[in-house]
Amino acid sequence: MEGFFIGLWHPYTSAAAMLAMTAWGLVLSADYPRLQHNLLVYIPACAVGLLLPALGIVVRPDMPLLAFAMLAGVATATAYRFPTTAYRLAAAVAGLFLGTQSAPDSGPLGATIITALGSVLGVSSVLFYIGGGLDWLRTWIKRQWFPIAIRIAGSWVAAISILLAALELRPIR
Amino acid sequence: MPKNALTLTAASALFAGLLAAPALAHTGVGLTGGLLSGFEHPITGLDHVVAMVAVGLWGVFLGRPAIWLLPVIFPLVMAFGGAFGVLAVPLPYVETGIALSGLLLGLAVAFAIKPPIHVCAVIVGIFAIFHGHAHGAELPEAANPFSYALGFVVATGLLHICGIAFGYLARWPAGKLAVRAGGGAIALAGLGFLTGLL
Repeated sequence: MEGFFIGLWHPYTSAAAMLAMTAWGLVLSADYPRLQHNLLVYIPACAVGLLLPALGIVVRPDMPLLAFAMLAGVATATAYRFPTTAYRLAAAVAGLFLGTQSAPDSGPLGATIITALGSVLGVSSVLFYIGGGLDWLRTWIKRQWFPIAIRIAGSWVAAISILLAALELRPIR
Repeated sequence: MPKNALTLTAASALFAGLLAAPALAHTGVGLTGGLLSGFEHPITGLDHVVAMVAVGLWGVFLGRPAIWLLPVIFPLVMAFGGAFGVLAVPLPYVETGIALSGLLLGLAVAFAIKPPIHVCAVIVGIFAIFHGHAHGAELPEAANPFSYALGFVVATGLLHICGIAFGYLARWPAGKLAVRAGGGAIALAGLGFLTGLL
């Protein structure tokens, strides 16, 4: 079971992954009952992403994840509603790169599968907690400041993502 | 605000800008750490504090949607300024811009100036670039850049909220006077930074 917990915690050890998951959760929270169906695209995309390194496809996921977090943060801050297809595409892209980021190292098949299961749960749980949690809170907190606080959180996530993306682009001295 | 007063303010700001000395928050020495270091950066530099609080105060004076729009815009544009700092893209007169932000935003609160919302957004956005550049220039030295960035973005947001909270005093006549006096004090502090007196 150790591998399962390693997989579960792995997404939380990457700043880019944390920002992407948080930003995606904030986007979903805007209209969770309608947008939660995107998890049906997101979770299989994660599984595909987990398989990519095993297939010899090496992708550096940090920059795409930061770009995704930036766009999702701006979308939250501006409260912009995209067409349904755009959310499905975003779910696929986020899932793919978050899966790749959390792909287990090669090892015995059983242990690899257990670790991969932990990773899928790890990259999905933040979405359930943030997306579903904020939606649940919205039913209780009817105050005007609540959606504003979510928009401000989106702008903070986007701001941090922009800074870390700049750091990635910075030439090594 | 009368037109001649505006001209006088702009002229004095320009003059003071020429006399500007480096401000408080950016010593450029020592190792930058993580979350606490990033959090401390905006709140230990009085030049940042007064400008951030002034953004919140001005937002209250302007009413909705500025009260929440300015704190949303500021970190986003600040991050672009920060990215320039991280990438070592030179930005002239950073400290002057930061000091000017305190002076002009303080004056805007003191005189309860209410331009259209898009003008406010542009003014705040321009100043945000200077503040962001100052923060961002120190980010590559951070032991943990993510924590450092998280710390200074959150601290900046909390300073806006402090300004908004104080600004809510303006609901009452005496409170309005206190808030405008606060704006005046911020403007004086900005002038102090510009001239190197503070």
